[in-house]
Amino acid sequence: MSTMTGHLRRTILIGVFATLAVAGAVRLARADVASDKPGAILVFPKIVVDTSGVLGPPTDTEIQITNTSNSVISARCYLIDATSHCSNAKVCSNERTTQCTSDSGCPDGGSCIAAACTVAAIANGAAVGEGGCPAGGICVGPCNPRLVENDFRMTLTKRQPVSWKASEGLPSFPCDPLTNPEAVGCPNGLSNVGSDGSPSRVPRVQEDPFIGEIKCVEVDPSTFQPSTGLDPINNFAGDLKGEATIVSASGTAVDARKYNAIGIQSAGPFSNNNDDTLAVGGPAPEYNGCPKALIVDSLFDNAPVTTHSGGLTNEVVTDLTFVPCTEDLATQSPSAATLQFTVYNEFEQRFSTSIGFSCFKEVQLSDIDSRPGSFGNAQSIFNFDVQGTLSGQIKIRPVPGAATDNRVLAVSEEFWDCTGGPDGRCSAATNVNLIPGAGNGDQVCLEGATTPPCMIMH
Amino acid sequence: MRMVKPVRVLWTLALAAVVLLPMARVAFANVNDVSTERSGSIIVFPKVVWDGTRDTIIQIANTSNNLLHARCFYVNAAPINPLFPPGPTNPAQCNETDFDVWLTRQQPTHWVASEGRSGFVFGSGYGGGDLSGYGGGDLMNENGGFSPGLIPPVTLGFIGELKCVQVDASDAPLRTNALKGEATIRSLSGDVSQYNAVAFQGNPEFGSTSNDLVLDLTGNHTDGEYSACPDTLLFNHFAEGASDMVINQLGDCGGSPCPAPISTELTLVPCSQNLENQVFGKVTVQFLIFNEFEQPFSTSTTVSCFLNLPLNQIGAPGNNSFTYTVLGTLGAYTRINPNPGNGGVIGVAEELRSATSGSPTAAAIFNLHTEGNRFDAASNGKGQLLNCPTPGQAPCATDQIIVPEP
Repeated sequence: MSTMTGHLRRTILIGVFATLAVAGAVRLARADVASDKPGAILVFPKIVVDTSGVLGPPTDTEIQITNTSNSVISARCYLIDATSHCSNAKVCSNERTTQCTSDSGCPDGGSCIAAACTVAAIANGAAVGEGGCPAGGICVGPCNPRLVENDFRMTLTKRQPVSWKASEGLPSFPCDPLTNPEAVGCPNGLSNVGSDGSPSRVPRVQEDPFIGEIKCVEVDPSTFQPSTGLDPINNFAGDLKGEATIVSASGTAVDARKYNAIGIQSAGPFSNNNDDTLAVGGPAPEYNGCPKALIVDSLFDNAPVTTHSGGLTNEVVTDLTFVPCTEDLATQSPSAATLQFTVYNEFEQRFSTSIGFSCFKEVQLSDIDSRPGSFGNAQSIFNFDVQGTLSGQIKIRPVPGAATDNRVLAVSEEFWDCTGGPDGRCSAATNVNLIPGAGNGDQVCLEGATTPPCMIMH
Repeated sequence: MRMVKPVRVLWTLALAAVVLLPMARVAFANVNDVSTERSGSIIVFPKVVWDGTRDTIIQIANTSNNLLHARCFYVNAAPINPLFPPGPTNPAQCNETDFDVWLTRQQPTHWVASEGRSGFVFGSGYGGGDLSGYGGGDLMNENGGFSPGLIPPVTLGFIGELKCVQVDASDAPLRTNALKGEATIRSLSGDVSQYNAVAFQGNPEFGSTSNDLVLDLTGNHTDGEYSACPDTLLFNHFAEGASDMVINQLGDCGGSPCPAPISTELTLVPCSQNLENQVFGKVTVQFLIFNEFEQPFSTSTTVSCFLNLPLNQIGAPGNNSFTYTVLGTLGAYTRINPNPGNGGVIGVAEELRSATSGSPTAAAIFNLHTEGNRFDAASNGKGQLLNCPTPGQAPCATDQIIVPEP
């Protein structure tokens, strides 16, 4: 009897320790975010809408999201508005160069809206309604004083792709008989209606012009609480993949640039506690951590690049767009980050600089260490005039904060002088390279988060 | 009764361990996967073009603090007769040209496919500011920088891939994962599109110096050599011939909405290559296509050395499963799987948009998503190949890149 009891006790203890060891190994899995694999959180760092061509050529963004799994999934998504506005000017929505103080001051059908601006446009002397502000005004934003977000939900059937224009959203999903009376319906009676009976829908962006971010979190289709992925084929890492194509058109001149949404994978099949505080990396991760550093291989600004056996020479500039990994969507307080840049040219010469930002940052390389706008660009360490070589390697390291790592995600865009593109510009976008590394982690606090465990709510 | 309860607990815990253990192992899988955003020991540019209209700028960087040496291989897959489209009677040349690249610590470099790069040590440019002390010649031009070595230009009409393998000073494979790269395809009209090179992680602990590079490193097979090829490629695309919703709204074609057709060109290259004997991989792939109503469609094709086709020419040409006429929705999602017993493929896709026929085209190229790996998918995890008629002999699912002896 005692032998049998001891045997059972040993076997139980072995099983317990094995389970704990395995569970611990699952939680300690050190993997990365990726833009070439599905994830449980999907981040589109840059969404642009400017259908009237206020800040550049008329532009809109096509968004594609797919459920890569063989199960029905749901997602809670957040459309974050990072558009900046003049502190001292409003314009008519249907006549952007006309300033106003109320709707009555606008032509019929127009409304008096805050004038969108960029600091670079102001520095370059752009007029009101073309990105500039009246004298004495400043360009306020982004996310000043608060992070402005619209949230929405979607339920996707097995392997279902959906796509929409950011300017219009998607008010009716393909397999949703509630909002689409002509819906064919998906096989086996599956639909895009949520388990609570709510239809899936995507709102249009909050304003036009608009610049901002979309973040989608995979949730349990029955509870709409954050969850791991459902697909064992990819180790329950997540089932969402996406792409964004920023398209400009003016007359018959067109331009398009495309990047993959960044997928943040679940840390393991049992890693998620299903609450609204998402631990991204760190000692007890629910999701893989954001990268410790980013690498951008870029042509330096104003580099004269010759191709076609000497037949074509044009200059190029590069924009980087950063969004913080830590995000407080509960109290809608913007998150800050400081970035250290180390730049190597083709002579292995090294330079460095840094910037800080809050909520969202889109910046031309040469504006990182010089005044916004074209003034001073020729003296920037990111400029061909200083570096003397066409290409460089830029390493970007976020500075950890007290509570979170304050890491960032990014996308890179090149803008080339060209005759065939709208406004004489052609563009390309790529995802930046990542260097993974452990840290204290970041947090995304959704609207239902509480403190604790959310450490960043104010 | 007292005996049953402990036994139940025992079985529950044992079952939990059995269930969790495989999941714990595969949780590390991502680290060893091919990647388009991490440095690797082999990088592949699936699409390099110089055809007189489109040219390609290659950028490579050493992400480490050590000197880096790489052997690079262009594979020219242009058809034997350039006057006719590729096909069974006009196959791809699959000629290989190789060269060496040397990069100092953290050094980036670049070259243009049509021009290559001079082997002069400093190029002919050096720094900025007061240039008087730095020698003669044109000191600020596009060849400024430490030369990575003499890089040959590709011939006019080239379309194919570029592959670079990190090696040591004796040309033996070195797996320290310090290579990254990007390619920018530039059109004569000025349009550009850009993608990241696909990087294969090397196992630094793998001791072999053989030129037979086996792609069998996975989360379950951690003593493999290089990342296994992906099992499935995933990509979202628009139906062939569908009208681009943005250009249709914002463009202006003589006062009318623009027809704005979208076409997507898919480029696939086999992971396996025998560059020593100039034998290039051949993989038959299946396409499973889902429209926005979750309705599935399918087709297949064979990738012999290289494939670069618009979607509406894959499988049955014309109104095939990729077209708007068949799919019925704007968006679609395609899964690409090699046939059992075949190796893997990697690739990129490029969307081409124009306002109307004859107007300038805007290209946007992007990397494909990946799922799983070809080694685990086709073997039992112990190197014993499944679905392989004769283990170790083609066709087999474990991919290998055999580089020529130095």
